[in-house]
Amino acid sequence: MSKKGNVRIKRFNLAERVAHWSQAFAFVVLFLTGSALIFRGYGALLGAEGLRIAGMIHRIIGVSFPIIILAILLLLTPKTTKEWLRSVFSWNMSDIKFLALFPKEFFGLKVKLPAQGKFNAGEKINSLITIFGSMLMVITGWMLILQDRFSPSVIAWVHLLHASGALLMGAVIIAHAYLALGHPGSREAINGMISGTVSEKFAKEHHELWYNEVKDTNRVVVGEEVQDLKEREA
Amino acid sequence: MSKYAMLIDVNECIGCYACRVACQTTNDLPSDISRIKFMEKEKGTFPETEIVVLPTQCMHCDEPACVDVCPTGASFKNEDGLVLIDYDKCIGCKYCITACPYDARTFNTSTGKVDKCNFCAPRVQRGMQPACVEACVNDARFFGEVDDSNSPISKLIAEADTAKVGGTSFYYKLPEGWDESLPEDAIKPAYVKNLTERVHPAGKALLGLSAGAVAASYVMTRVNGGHEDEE
Repeated sequence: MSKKGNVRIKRFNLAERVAHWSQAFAFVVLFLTGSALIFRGYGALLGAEGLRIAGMIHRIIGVSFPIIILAILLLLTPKTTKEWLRSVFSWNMSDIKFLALFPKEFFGLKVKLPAQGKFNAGEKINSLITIFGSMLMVITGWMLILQDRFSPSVIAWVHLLHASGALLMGAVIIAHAYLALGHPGSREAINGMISGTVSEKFAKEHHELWYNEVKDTNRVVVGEEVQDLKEREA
Repeated sequence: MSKYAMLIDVNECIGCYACRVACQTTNDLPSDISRIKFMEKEKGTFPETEIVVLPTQCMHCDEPACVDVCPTGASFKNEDGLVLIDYDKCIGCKYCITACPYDARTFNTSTGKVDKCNFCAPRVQRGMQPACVEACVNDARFFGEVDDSNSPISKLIAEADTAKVGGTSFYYKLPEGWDESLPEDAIKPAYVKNLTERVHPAGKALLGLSAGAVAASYVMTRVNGGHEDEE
């Protein structure tokens, strides 16, 4: 029995996880309701009444969720939010090297990636696209709701930005979800967003700089029997 | 191309707005929604200035921008060349309001749908004239079939002082020297092309590219033995 597999490293607290899944839920619902106006076949399938309901859901979710998510991040877990923001805005050469080598890793080729902090360079890019993309979608979305107050020439650009942002973020989320769920190298990461912990092996191999920082403070041992075994050994 | 056309003789228009009221009454519109707009054009230098009222409405374009951007097919051009809205299909997304080069469409908050001039299609189909034409107190408005070269409107169109709004079903007779007051030819705003020929196809390609890369990775990581799991 390997006790190593049961040592886990705490990665995200409950508020961070709730914020993440709120964002995920909101994005998926907004994409499914909004893209019905881009994919005409899908829109026709919903029909006019379905599209009107979709539009209503789109506005309700689009107006409420950004506030909920911001409140969770800023009020319930301000410290980790600040750390996350600091991390995604600080870039160095090892991030660039990581991005240059990552395609090999993505397609399953053997490659040695530079040691990463809590968020690797790819996760930082995903975070930046999510932060700025969501801001763009919220601002342009509100302008579309209040479009009677703007001239049609302004709304023309606002609508183009709203559609572009949605499609770009849709493309990003496909890869993001796959890396967390289906990619053999990184799918352990999903546990960080479900239980809040990742395996020690994953933490060490994928986020070595972070692991070295938190290996003592964030250590969690899962399962009674293993804990007993550990105590006996000690 | 259009089978029907409308002509407004601006020289005869006295700016009484009877057309607007008749339109609202006939089409059951609330008083704050009008399918007819009035541009007040001023010209000359003091003291010899003049104001001419130029009514505008849906021009029933040959290639309507509103039809291009409508995501549900609610806006369409029928076989008679009339640009119409199928209210069962309109979801009130307002893309057509943004696309229209003539500001001819308004959002009806009581129905949640978009409204515009339909040349009184139901009346025309019964052999009647549009309400605005019938109501015009000074006979400044004309409507009819352009296919028939003997129709009254065809004869008016053939006159030298009649100007066509290019790419539409609309004609004006303007006071002498007022040529620049004619509404511009129907040119699709860049918005239409940017949306339907750039943003939508490029975004769909990006989604496909992402999905393709994921599928390729899924296969390749398994073919290559999932090295990370084995370490």
